[in-house]
Amino acid sequence: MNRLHDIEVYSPKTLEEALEILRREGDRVKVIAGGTDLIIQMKDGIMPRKNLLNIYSIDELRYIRMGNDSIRIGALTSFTDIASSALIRNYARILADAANTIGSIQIMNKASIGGNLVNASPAADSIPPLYVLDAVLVLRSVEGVREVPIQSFYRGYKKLDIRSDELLTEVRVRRMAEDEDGIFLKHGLRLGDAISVVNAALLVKWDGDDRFKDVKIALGAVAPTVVRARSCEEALTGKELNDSTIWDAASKVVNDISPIDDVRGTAEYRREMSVNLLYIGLWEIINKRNQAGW
Amino acid sequence: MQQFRWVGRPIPRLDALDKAVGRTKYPSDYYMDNMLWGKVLRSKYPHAKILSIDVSKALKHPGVVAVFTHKDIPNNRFGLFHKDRPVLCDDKVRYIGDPVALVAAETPEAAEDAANLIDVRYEPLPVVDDVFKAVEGDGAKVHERGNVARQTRITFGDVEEAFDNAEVIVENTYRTGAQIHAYLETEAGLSYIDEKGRITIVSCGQSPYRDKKEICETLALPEEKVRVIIPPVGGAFGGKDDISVQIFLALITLKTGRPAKMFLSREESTISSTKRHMAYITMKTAADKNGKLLANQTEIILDTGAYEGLGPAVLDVAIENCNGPYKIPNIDIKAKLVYTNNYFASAFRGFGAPQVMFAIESQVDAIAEKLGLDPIEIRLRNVVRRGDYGVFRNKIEGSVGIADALEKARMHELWLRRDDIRKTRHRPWIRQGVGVAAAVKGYTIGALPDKGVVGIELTTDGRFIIKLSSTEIGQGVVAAIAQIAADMLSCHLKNIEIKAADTSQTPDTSVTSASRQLYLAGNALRKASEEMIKKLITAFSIATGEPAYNASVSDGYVVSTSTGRRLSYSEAARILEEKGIGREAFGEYEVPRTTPIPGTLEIPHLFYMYAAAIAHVEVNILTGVVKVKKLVLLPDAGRVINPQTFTGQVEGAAAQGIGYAVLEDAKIEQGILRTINLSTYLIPSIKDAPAMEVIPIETTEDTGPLGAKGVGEIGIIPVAPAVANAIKHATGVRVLEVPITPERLYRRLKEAGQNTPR
Repeated sequence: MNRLHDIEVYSPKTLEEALEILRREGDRVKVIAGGTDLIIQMKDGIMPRKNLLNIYSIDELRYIRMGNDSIRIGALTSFTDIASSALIRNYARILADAANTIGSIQIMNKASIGGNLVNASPAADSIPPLYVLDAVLVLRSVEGVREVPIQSFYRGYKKLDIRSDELLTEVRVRRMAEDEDGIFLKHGLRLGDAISVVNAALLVKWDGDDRFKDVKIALGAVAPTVVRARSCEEALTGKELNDSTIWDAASKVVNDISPIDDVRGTAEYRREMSVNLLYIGLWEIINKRNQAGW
Repeated sequence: MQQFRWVGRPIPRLDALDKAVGRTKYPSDYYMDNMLWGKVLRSKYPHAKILSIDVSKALKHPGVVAVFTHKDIPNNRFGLFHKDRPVLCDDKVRYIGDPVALVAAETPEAAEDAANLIDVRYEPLPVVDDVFKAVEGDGAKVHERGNVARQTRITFGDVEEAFDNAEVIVENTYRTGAQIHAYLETEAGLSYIDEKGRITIVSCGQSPYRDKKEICETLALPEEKVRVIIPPVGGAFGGKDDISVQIFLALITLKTGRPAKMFLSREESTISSTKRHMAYITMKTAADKNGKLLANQTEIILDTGAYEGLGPAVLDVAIENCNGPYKIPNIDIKAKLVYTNNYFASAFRGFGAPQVMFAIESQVDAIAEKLGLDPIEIRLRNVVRRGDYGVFRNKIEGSVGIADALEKARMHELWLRRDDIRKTRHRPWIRQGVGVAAAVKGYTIGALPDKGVVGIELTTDGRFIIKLSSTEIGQGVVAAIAQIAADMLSCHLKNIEIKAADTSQTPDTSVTSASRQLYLAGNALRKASEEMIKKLITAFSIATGEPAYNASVSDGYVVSTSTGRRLSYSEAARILEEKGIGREAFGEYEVPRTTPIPGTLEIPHLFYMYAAAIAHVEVNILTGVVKVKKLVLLPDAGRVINPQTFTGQVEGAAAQGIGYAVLEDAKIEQGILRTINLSTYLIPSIKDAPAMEVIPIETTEDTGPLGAKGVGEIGIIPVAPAVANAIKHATGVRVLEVPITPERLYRRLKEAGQNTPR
């Protein structure tokens, strides 16, 4: 176990100062927010020991605001705040639901959405909802601002489109419309505080004909990054929806994922759980629409 | 039932406030000036020959004061039943937690870095990772004596004849997992030389006197040179019954003269600490057409891992309880304790009983189903009642509450709604069910000798100090003893002070285990109290000239029943002091026992605790996730001393039972533990702990202190089979292996074709 007592920690009070330190130090520092992943990784030697840029006290990065047609979430916003935000509960409910299952109360209080995104665990619960909500990540540096769609932010296992002088400062998500519905699903090995074996977010747009005009599905923990289930989306869009068609569509997810065996489950189990979870999600969405069931 | 002033009331525990506000000092909270840190280098391999150990580089590391190996241990084998465990490994390592060398350094960092500089050359040996291969005997041996540490066979009646005449026979093989104690506080302690020159170890533990004995024996120290103190411990559950850091700490202080501290990381604790025995149990059980159990043939294999520890006794408890709380006329039990390189198994709450109860309670349920009988009815037709003879032809003379518990379970609303619950499907993939299980376990250590002493000191201001070596491991025994003492000595609870577990100041009250410390210490306290009351009355006679038979004690006074004259306890203390009679009293209690039946160490017990449990589960057939929605626990633990503590004990045990039943999966692959922290080894979170209802079945144990018996273990024992039986009720699938993890259950449901939503 590595000790961290002798590393340098920069603790700027403003975003401007933080960006200046990043410009100067670049790769020599690692940004720390809540630290719920980073500290463990540095102690375990998974992450090299580096000096830290502690942004935790930059309160200007903690907010949830309504934008023109998006919701803007400051990168330091905690999952407790996201889960309990009326704005998010009303307009991006699947993100609030994911935030609620991310970990224990202590983790939810401490961990930030920006940290979860940059840590880039394939099993991160906040990422699938952000995929289907077309999230845009705002990256700032002394040079300026870049806005990166979430799907192009992740380029492979823990490979990110972010420069060493850039700081993730904001996440923007689309507001869900009246004719949209969605669900976040998590399969963990215990009911509380579990790391996902598979997680998924579904977002559908209904047409006037009880069919999906548009479907977006993203899954976590089944590939090096969160992935979209394009085969399922295609099999569902504009199609008649009944028990057998949603099973068939859900089954297609195996084409979109590449799970591995690990201590939490075998690849085979993850494949089956992906199918079953999508079935459950689709059933819930359709059943809500058609309370009589079919 | 007799009413008492203190006993039976839900009084907040004496230690509650200090624990809540963080004032209590646990073993890991002790520090001293000039203190060294100890760090153990543990084995890299599950099984390997040690060719050489070179500590020269470690010794040169800055901050290192000493490095110890087996050469520093005068008697390098210890163990409670069989001395097979080295303090520091010499010839071989036998599991990945095995200690090879010990570093003492000025800082924990230096100690850890130096440990990594020790150059140990190993010759890896074939890993014995399977009990069945281990017993075949042609492969690698964990110990020279062979891989079967103990085996025995116990038979009564004739099972074969009974099978011939049976209406129904059920045969299954069950497997149960290696549970990890996962106490809040990992193993920790501090050692130093006290004012009298004794090597003093303040550490976790469950038995100060036994720990002291093992320290003295291995390090060849005279008894008077060692003192062991066990402060309140952050959880033990049997996992601190065996030695962990104690001998290491004593060794550092012995060799350096300096204080030393150790505090294991979660990972080191998880790898090195003892675990619950994995068990393989085959059972063939027969009944007649009325559901009367006729025969039970059982084969039990317990994997004890690298060392025996308390394994031989755990095997006995498994043997003793594998027939459940039932009268079965014909039994045949073959049992083996087998060495492997998987881990090191020893004591864990339930001590062999949870494994076998999972098997027999699944069997009984299966028989009920075959006969179309209600699961509670079949149990009631077979349970032992007071005065009956048990399976070992032993007369059950202690209190027996199992029939009452099952009768109450049968009338519980959850059981009455059982079929409605099963039919309710709020989602096509959710199945609900309700299951029941009974449980039994002896408390006390059975036919093994067991005695304890408790002392009482009357202070000059008329209060009492109770001195005993019970260890407060979270269970509440110290507060319960205070409550009993206040009634026995007839005084206010605030006038009772407890001094516990310091070998230089408190008498030997034996080990805190087997759910019996309250029973043992309580009975010793009763004797000491009688002695103390005699002294108080003697003081009264001296002061008043009235005869002793006129006097009795009442609320802090000795009172004459004829004249009404009274003498306060503080006045009595003064008189006892002046007259040289002394203000101390001791009581010794030896637990009654029988002679063990041939082939066993400690069977049978004279005293048993019982329980019934009802579990309501919800199974997601598309994921295999089991949600325990409600648990009803009906423990018979005799007279309840403190309802709050009692409920806490039972609920805590039941939560641990849920972990055992559905969550806690210690993955060991070829001798390597893969789940070394609490992110991969999953214990129940608050969301996994269901609504629980604890209904005490209060029987009076005549031999117990004010009618009490033990309660520490019984809460965990019926949970896994109750959950498994509920899963069967919900899905039609019987699981034969715990923990019933989602992936495992999902596969079983799929094999059985039971995972189609509808």
